[in-house]
Amino acid sequence: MKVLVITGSAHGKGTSALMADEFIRGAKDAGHEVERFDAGKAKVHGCIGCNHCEYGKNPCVFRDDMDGLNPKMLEADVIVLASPVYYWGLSSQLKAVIDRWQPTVFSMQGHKKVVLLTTQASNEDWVVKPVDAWYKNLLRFMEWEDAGRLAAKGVMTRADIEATDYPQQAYVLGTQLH
Amino acid sequence: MKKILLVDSSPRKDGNSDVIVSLLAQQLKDAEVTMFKMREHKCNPCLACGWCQGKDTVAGCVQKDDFTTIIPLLDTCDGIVMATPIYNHQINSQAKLFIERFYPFFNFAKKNMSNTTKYGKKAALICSCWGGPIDIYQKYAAWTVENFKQMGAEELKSFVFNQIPGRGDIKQHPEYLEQIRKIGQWLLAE
Repeated sequence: MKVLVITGSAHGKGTSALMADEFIRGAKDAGHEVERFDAGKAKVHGCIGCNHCEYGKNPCVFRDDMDGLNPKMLEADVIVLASPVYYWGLSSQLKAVIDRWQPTVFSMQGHKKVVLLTTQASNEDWVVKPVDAWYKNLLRFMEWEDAGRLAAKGVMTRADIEATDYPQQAYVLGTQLH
Repeated sequence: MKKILLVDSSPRKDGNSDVIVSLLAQQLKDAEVTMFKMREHKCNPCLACGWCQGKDTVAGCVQKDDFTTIIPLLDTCDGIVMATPIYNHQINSQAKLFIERFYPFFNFAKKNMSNTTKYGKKAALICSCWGGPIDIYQKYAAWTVENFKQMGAEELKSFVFNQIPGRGDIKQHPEYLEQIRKIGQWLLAE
């Protein structure tokens, strides 16, 4: 299967990056073809809601890294979102990518799987509750199948997460894609 | 005189969020109002570099952009209103970016985990949308406005104005305009 991993952190070697790395290693070991897009390093202008694209009839008015990502999103069988939880949500860099789904949203509906990996410094469940509520909405609206949801809690630093089995869980999740 | 910050995170000029902050600005003539329309400013995402962390007061930000210039106002204002469209069931990425830049206010050891020099601020989040599962949006908006505790807000309100997809459609809804007027009164009240 074609797997597209979209990460949201500005940290290349942070906690959510490690979750993405391990998931990718697992998916590759299971024979899947994996592409990766790091929103935290990419140039992605926020959607301006102009609807020039008319939900995909026309290209977006912005020429940025979404040009390369759009065809990959359309081709992917599985979309994996990996993000730190900032202020009870996905990072704004990842949110910008998601807002830019306007031209592709209806073409992507209904025939994909999705995985959500998040990391958070806090141990508290309520910190990630809004993310899970959004994820449920995403599944419903996009008619996508959940292929795994992993929330790593209490991991502020790379050392914190390396001392847990969350990376191992991410690896296993990658191997279990089918 | 009350110091009020009105934030419009919408990319649309003359859109519903623009109308909302303009109406509030008119009503708040007797307050010291600062309007911050994100589309007219350069605001970079938080890079979580951590420079602002571990300080006793709000230290500002290493980024030299327009957001950094309003950090002192976020610290000392009496009230803040953020008007945002709903994109993909949530506030838009621009509004999310704004909230993430509250990181200089984070101090785990202090009240509400806030480094602010002024608690007790008022904060209102006003979301405009076309439609969708409104009960979920309302719950989500109520969660989201809690983030303003980070900059010292303690009195919080959140609103979802539904069925206003077009630019300035809110003007056709007297019930929403009335709610905006009440928000203005609330901001001015002691």
